[in-house]
Amino acid sequence: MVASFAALAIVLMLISVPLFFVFGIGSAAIAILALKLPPTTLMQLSFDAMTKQVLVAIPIFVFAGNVMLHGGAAQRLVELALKLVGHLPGGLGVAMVVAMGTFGAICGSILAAIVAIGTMMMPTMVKSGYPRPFVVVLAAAAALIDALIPPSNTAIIFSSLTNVPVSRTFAAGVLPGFVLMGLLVTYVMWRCRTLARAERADWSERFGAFWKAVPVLTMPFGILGGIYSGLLTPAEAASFAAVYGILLGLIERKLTWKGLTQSLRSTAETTTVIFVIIAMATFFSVVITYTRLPQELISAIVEHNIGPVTFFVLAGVVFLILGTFVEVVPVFYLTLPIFVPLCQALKIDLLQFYVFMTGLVGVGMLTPPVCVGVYTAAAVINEPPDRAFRAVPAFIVIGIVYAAIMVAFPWLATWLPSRF
Amino acid sequence: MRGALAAYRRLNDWLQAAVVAFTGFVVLVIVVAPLVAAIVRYYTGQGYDWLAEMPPQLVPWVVFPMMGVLLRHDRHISVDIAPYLLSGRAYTLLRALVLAISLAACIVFGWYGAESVAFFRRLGQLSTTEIEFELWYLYISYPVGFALAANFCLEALLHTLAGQPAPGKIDPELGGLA
Repeated sequence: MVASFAALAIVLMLISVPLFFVFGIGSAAIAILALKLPPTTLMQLSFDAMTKQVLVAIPIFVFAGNVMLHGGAAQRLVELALKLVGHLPGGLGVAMVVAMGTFGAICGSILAAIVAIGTMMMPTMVKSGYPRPFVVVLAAAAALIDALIPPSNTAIIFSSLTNVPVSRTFAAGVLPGFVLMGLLVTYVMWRCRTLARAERADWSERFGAFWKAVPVLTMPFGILGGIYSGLLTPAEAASFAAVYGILLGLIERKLTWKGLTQSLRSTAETTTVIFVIIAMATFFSVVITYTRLPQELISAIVEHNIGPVTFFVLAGVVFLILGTFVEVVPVFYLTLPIFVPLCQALKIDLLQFYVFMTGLVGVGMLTPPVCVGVYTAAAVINEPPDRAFRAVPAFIVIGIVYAAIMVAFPWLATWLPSRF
Repeated sequence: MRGALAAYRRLNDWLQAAVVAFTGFVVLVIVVAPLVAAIVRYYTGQGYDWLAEMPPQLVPWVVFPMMGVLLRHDRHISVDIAPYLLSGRAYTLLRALVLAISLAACIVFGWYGAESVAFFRRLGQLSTTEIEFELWYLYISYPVGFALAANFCLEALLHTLAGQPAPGKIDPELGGLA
């Protein structure tokens, strides 16, 4: 019976039934009909999952990102990045990567970063002769840095599923975020080396751009400083960022009443998309627990003498395949209940696994058919997404190189959290 | 028939506006409450747990009512292989099938939700938060949300079957999924 309901869920997924229903229908059917669990238990568990204290930071950070989007913060970061690195080979591309990374430190929302930074950078890049498919995929790929640089919504979800403190997961993403940024910058500089470069800005121009960006650049210190000093919880830090963003937008007269109400509506939508999956994926976790799937897999690993590296390779293949078809949040909920016990059995640090999986699942945001990052970036410059896909393979290679680095150098993920 | 569908759409447009306004207000409370908690704690040296406990308890009141609005506009995450491959009549049929499945699921989940709420109400179970409340106040968002979602699904299904365009897409004011 379990196998037939699992097959039903796969069919529902393939015919494009919303993923939360796929989770809900398949797992609830197994839980109620096969495992004889009462529906009241399932509902209680899904509410427990949705109302975890740590998760409430997600809607607040999403709101902060939306306020930044409407409040002009992104523009200051773009200007600063252009003055600092615009003269390098592929300067505009490098500036977009750097601006995305910096924006990630204030909002943690991948799609908000694509819209905020991409809207300003992408048309300029196209005008300067950068190939349109490359520009689209670069914007989507650069936004992945936001999934690693704290504050990051993926880190919050990972923490809620693994009980690793958010402060540690946030810290784990910093160095890997810079590694990913470095890989992207290197590729952009090589790929665009023949394109015309901007003139090097003098120091007064750079200082002027920096001075204008100071109110935005201080925000990450407020957020992370508040969390690591123990003064603020992640939700309070997120709330601080949101209110700070509102004040900044109002002082600069960029944030309008319409922008504020749009931010609220957009936050309600994004929160719903994420949390309704969390609510229904809880049913799936229950099914996994009752069917003892992780224990079976651990036995298989012990039996076949599978080591950590082989495990990483197998998990990487799973993430790449799942990421191609499913979004980041469902992948976390689908895989972590199974992979976390396996990591513990193989003595793999969960933070290392977090930065490894985030990179690879993020690559899935670039690969069709489910690639919301590319679709969003393509919409910014009205490029048909199917034309943009030709630029994707190089970025998949970058994602795999990034993942290999994370496997080879676990301290990239574990060193900074150990300092706090 | 066409007139009835138009009236149904207008009714649901109004309902959607009410849901969006309500959830937007709840989001505002969720955003502001933690900062108020921190400020009060900093200046008075005394923390009020209910200020920290309230935002997570409000999340279901954003998620479940808004779920139907997103179903109406086809804004939930799904695996888009089939729509990518299909077009014209085949795509319309697939969309009708997906909406019919979603409608059936909403009714089943809504029914189970209502039964569960009745059960918890009989049980009289209280929250463990600083301000105690009966838990069914929280759980009732579940059947309410699925009832709204069933209504929006039915509307989208009827329009799809009548060959009329589905309700317009919401402005792509993107928040951030990850």
